[in-house]
Amino acid sequence: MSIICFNEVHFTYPGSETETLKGINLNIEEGSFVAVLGHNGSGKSTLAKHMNSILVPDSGTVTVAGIDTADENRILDVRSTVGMVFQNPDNQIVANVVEEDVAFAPENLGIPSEEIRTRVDDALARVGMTEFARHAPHLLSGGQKQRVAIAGVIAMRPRIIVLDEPTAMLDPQGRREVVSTVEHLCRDTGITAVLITHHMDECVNADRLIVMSAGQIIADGKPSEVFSQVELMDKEGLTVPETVRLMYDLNSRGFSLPLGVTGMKDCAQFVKTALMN
Amino acid sequence: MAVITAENLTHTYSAGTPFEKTAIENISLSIPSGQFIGIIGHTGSGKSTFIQHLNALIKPTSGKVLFDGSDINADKVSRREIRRHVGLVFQYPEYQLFEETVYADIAFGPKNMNFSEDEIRERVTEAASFTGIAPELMERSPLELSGGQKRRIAIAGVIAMRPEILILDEPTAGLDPAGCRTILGNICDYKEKTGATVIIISHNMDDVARLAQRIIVFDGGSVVLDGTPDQVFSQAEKLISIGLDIPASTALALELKRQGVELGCPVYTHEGLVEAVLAYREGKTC
Repeated sequence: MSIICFNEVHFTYPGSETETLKGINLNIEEGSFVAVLGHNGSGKSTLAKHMNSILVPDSGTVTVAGIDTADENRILDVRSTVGMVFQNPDNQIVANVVEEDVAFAPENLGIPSEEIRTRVDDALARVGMTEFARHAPHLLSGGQKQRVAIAGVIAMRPRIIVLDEPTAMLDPQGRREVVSTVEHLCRDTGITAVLITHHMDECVNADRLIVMSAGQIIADGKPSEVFSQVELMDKEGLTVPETVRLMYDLNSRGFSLPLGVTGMKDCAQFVKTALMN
Repeated sequence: MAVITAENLTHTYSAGTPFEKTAIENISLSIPSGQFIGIIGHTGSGKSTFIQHLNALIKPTSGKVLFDGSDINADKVSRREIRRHVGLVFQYPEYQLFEETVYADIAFGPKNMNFSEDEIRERVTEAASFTGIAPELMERSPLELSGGQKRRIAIAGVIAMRPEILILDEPTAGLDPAGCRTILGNICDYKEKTGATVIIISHNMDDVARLAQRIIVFDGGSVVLDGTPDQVFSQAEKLISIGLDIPASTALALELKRQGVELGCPVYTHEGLVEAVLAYREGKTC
């Protein structure tokens, strides 16, 4: 069942002459892990901000769990259904102790304190930060801070989590921590995850990959299917995994290898087989 | 042209307090003029602390930094002087833009060196052209431009000082692939046209492998590997063991080796991998 539905969504920022979203139609299945890839200015962050009423369409509709995001009376319902995580870890942490930060949102929802305790402990366990519960957030690494921010969101028990370039300011290890946390959350708890990124390697394990360019969706499918469209990705200035790139270039030199392979092992297997024949 | 040398360089933060931490320990190395150097290492490995010593932003706890043989921390004059030769671009330098126009921001450094208006204009124009900043942007406010443009303006501000040694701490962090390519192209261009020494800190192994002539690997405050990309990436297992990435092409070559296809030469770029596989098919081992 679709939990997020975009229907012919147009959006232009005030004072801008060009449309940032040019008629987006998109349905996202409940429980899926969806990655959205695109350049700066492609409209991917604008798309994300439409998912929890930070922005509402100029025309067309966005619904989450059946609620129209433009309905001002339902804005709290939208926000408790869709949690957001942003780019800069330092801008999202409000408390001086990790567990208090995670408790911030449930406290504001007026949840009883025993229930908050359970939710905070559960949320910290889910992101692998239990041992840091009583630490000061500012002494954590970037990847750890982002995981705390994710815990703060899942303590609200939203059905959807939208992450807008959560790894842009992290080092490779921090990026791996965050992406694998998101993936596990989605697989283990059935939460719907939407990951906005410009790092193609973070999209490889998603169920679905959407590529945006100039306010439109230009590719949509399994990551292996999308990445195999090498010419399209090149034209957009986006990178494809080394596995796909190797097979593509070998094909132009007389090999005939399948392009939709993103796993290192599988890729090596195909190349080996081709070399042995 | 200049040579910069570190001799037994050690730096301890908050010495004498409970938070005392030795960030780099006993580093000795020499950087000859004209090299393109990549510095890699895990967060907290000491690489940023190291480069901040190279233009006397922080003083060594012990050891020395020599520029053309003389100690850059000898006195206040030499500390000031070194900054004319060594330009340092921090992480996220766009946060340091503050002037009302792009022109004024780029001109800030040269202005402080008391150059004539003509000289300043020439340097700003030159720096803007190196970093691909269009003339019509010059009178705009730097704060209203895109992230990639701001980053290039910040780099132009350092290039306007015409440094013989240009050091950049993660110049592509947070940019999208097109932004990364533009910035790295700008830096290569500066190096090619001026013969400057360039040192970049990067987490992107593919970029480092492709661009650098020499790679210095930091771990736990020490230099653990120092050599050509060939030499460094042939130690892929060691890099992985200290928590670093390796270029994707190197990882694929290792996987092929695991499956019995030994390519027979170190691979660290995509082009190298394609050639090595083709050579293997022909029965050659490069």
